[in-house]
Order: sequence, then C-alpha cells, then structure tokens
Amino acid sequence: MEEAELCLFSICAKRYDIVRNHRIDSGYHFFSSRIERGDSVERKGARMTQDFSITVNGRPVRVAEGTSVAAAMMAANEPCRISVRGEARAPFCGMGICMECRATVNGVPHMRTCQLACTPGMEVVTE
Amino acid sequence: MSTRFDVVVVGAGPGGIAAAVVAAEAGKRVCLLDESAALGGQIWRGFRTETARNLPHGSSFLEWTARLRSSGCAIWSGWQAIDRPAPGFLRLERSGEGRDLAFERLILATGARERFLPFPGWTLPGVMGAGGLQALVKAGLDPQGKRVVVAGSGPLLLAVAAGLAGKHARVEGIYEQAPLARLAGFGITLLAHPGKLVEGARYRLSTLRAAYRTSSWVVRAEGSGKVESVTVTNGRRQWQIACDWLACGFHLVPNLELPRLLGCRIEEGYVAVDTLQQSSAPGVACVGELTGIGGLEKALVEGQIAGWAAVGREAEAGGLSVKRLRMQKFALRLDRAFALRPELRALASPDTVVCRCEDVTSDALKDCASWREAKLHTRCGMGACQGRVCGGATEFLYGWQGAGGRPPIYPAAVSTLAAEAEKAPEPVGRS
Repeated sequence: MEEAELCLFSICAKRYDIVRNHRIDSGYHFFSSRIERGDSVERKGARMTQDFSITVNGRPVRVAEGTSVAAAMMAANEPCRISVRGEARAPFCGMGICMECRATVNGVPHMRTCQLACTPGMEVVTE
Repeated sequence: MSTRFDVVVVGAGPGGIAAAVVAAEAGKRVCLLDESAALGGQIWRGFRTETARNLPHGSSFLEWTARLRSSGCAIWSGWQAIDRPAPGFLRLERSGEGRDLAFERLILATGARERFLPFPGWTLPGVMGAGGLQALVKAGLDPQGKRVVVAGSGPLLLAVAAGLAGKHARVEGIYEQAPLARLAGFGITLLAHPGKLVEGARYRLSTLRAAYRTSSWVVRAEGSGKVESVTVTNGRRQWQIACDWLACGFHLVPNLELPRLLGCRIEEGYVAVDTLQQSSAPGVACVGELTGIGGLEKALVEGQIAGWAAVGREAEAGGLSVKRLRMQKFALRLDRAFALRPELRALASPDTVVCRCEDVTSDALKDCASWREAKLHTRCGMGACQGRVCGGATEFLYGWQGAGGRPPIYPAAVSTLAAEAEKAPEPVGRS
C-alpha cells in the first residue's frame, strides 16, 4: 500500500507554479537583471531571443538573452565557489537565499549569480 | 535620504500585491517593494503579461498586476530590506545604495523558502532544491535530456516534476517521504477545494512516465565532483538511481527574518496574527506564507484583509473572514499531511556538512545544546546565508529555535549600515 503509486488524490500544487506551456521559455526569458534601474518591473513587448557570449573562468559560453549567470555556470559545468574545506559548490536554492551561487562578476565579488542576468561580454569567475 | 509612505508592503508576491492594491485603491500612499527586479514572488516567477494567460494561475496574475498598475502604488523593485534603523523606518539597499523608508503601517509578505535537510552528498554540484531547480530552469537552464530525481516532501514536488517533464527532462522518479495513507486522507479533504484537486491531477498526468513513490526518501547522493547517482529507501530496502540532477526539498518554511527583526511574535513556526492579520508588533501586519504555508489563494485573501485594515475599513476586511478561515484550515491540513518523518533526522553522517556556508559538520554540532551555542562554538549559521538554509534544518534535526532576526538581515554595504536614521522624512505625493 505504502509503496503504491499515488494518483489523483495526491496533490494541490500550491506554492510554485510550473511552466507547462513552452511558450514562456521558448522565445524570450523574463529573468531581469537585479541591477536594472528604474521602477518599471516588466519589459515591454516580446522580443526574439538574442544569443551572445559571456566568459566563465576564461572560457566563452553562449547564452540566450535572459539567462541567469547561475544557469550559465551550471550549463558550463563550472563551480560558482569553492567552500571553506575546498569543495566545489554550484547553484542550490535558485532563489537568492542560500548564497552557494555567489561568484565574481565583472570584478565584483560575492554576486548572487542566480539573481543576476547575463549581459554580453560579462566575465564570471569562480570564487 | 528617506521617503515617507502611509503604507509600505514588503514582498511583491500575491499577498503583497493584493495588500498594496487594496490600500492604494482606497487612496493611501503605498509603496510595494521587492528584492527581485520582477513582480510575482515565487509562484508567479517569470510571468509576463503577454504569455501569462495560458499558465496555471496566470489569470489571477493578470488581474492583480493590472489593478496594481492602475492603483497608483509606487513599486520599488530590486530593493532589499536589511534593517530597522528606528521605529517607523525600514532601511533598504539596492546595488550598494542605501535608503530609508518611513511608514505609518507596514505589511509583510515575505513568503517562504524550501526547507533543506542534510544528507551525505547534498553539497555536490547537481543537487538542488526542488523549487530551486524549477527557478533555475525558468532562468534559462535547459533540462532537456537530463535525468532528474525529484525527492523530498510537499505538493511542490509534483509541480516541479511536471514542469521538468514538459521541458523534456527525463524524470527518473518522484520520492515523497509522507506515507500514502496520510496523503490519501489529505486528498479527500481536498474535495472541498476541487480546483486544487484538478491541478494536482493535471500535474500527475503530465508525469505518468515517472514513478511517484510515497514513504520513500533520499538516503545519500553519490558522485565525484558532481552528483552521478542517488540512493533512495522506503525504510525496508535501498536502491540506487543514476541521475544528472537531484531536486530535493522538504516542503516550505516562512521567511521570518524581517518579522523577527520587527518583534512579531512567532508561534509554532509562523507569525501569530489576529483576524485582521495584525501581528504583536504595533502597526505591522503579516500575510501569506508567513502565517501558514497555504499558497496563492490564502495569500490573496490575507493580503486584501491587511490592505483593508491598513486603511481603517475593518468591515470590508471582515467580509473575507470566512474565506480566510477556510484557507487557514487548508494550511494546517497541508502541514499535517507533509509532516516530516523522524527517520530524516538520521540521514546526516558525522562528516556530513550541515552548515554549507561554513562547512560545519554534523559531528561538530553534536555537543551543542542550542542555536546560540552552535554559533558560538562552530560558526554554524554565521556564514553568508545567515542560517537561512541550516536554520530550517537544525530546527527539525535538533529542535533549535531562533535562527535569523538580527540586523542586517541580509549582507549589506558598511556605508548603508552606518548611515544615520533620518528623523523627519519628506512626504511624497502619490506616484
């Protein structure tokens, strides 16, 4: 009984939504840069995805516009930081609370890369 | 420099937006602030006007953000609340720039985060929170072809698995620690909330390829340099599953740092509030997940109540009390259904890291009697996340209370912290 497949009863997904519809992510990513200025919180109008390059630990990585730096580092298989006892750490909570994804971005240390969107030519270094 | 508003709302998820809309529509000067650049909090993460209609919860997003835009509410995005420099003031920071906000009434809607529990291998790259992986995918991480194990507890697991399956990840199994009997009982109570039942069914249908096993949990993650496999158990036998990613979260815990800083009384893990959402701290209301994990509808109802209360229209707030009670009962049932099993306390081995920031192991904590003692002796909870991850874990593992709540509640520039609080801020007109 306990191991049985649990079907319809199970669940009321509440807190987080899902993106079942591909449209939201197939073209344009909404993830906005944290350092973006101004009080307008939504970009106007849909745009086509623009690919561009950033460098992660000196290696060029191709990303789609709107990709977070954390997502780019994961795709590149590069750790964000090296822990106190020397372990490689990568993005964990995805929402800016755990600080595991902090890295040096354009020379600024301790940036939470999951809360930061890639911009063309950005230089990201594991810290 | 400081700015004065009648009502300041912290957190631009559903609860915060609803509160801000009601107060601003009633003619108050309202400021809605959020650390993120985008509106929506977690449940509406990544939504935008053009495409939200087709998403689950999209119509409520469109309705509330449209009302917000025409309400005259000032929206401060990208601002992090870090301290209370003086009563009636909040100190904020954005990109190293500090600013003080003065307010008559404060409404907190800071939401929740996942609870994480330590197990061997949980610090390996590729092991993430369940909501964490979902957020990363929304931020451009491509899950296509990746073998993903989803584990932990809570309704979020199915939603995450469905989202991953929809983007062509290979979901290798969903492991829920709660027993089937308890979930079935919870499912029956959902007959009173048919919308949620339909939503759950839809998520499950889109992940039928993957097994959904109850009374099953992760024992450890293995791999060199990154996760390569996961060992799960049902309490009787263990088996190993090869994977690229493990998405593992144990339901949700409220973000209590700001309520604690402001002196709100906490009871059984949530902010204690009255029927008008007012906390024990004068002038401070709390809504949404802060008062019980209950999701979108609960946040919207409580946000509206707090908004009406902030403008002195208790009658309108009272009109929502039946709905409020219903949602609070739902939150209680949710907590009970997904209560964590004691076996999860024994997952960490002596050399398993509990505090990821400072690499404090389970062994180092075994002689500590309290959160405070652990901080003094081991630096547990004193790293960059300030106990946001290990606080939830040690609360469950050792029964320690009191993580968080000391200023600054987020890392901030010294110049921001050192600035003197202004005493007579300039009023601003409605923006």
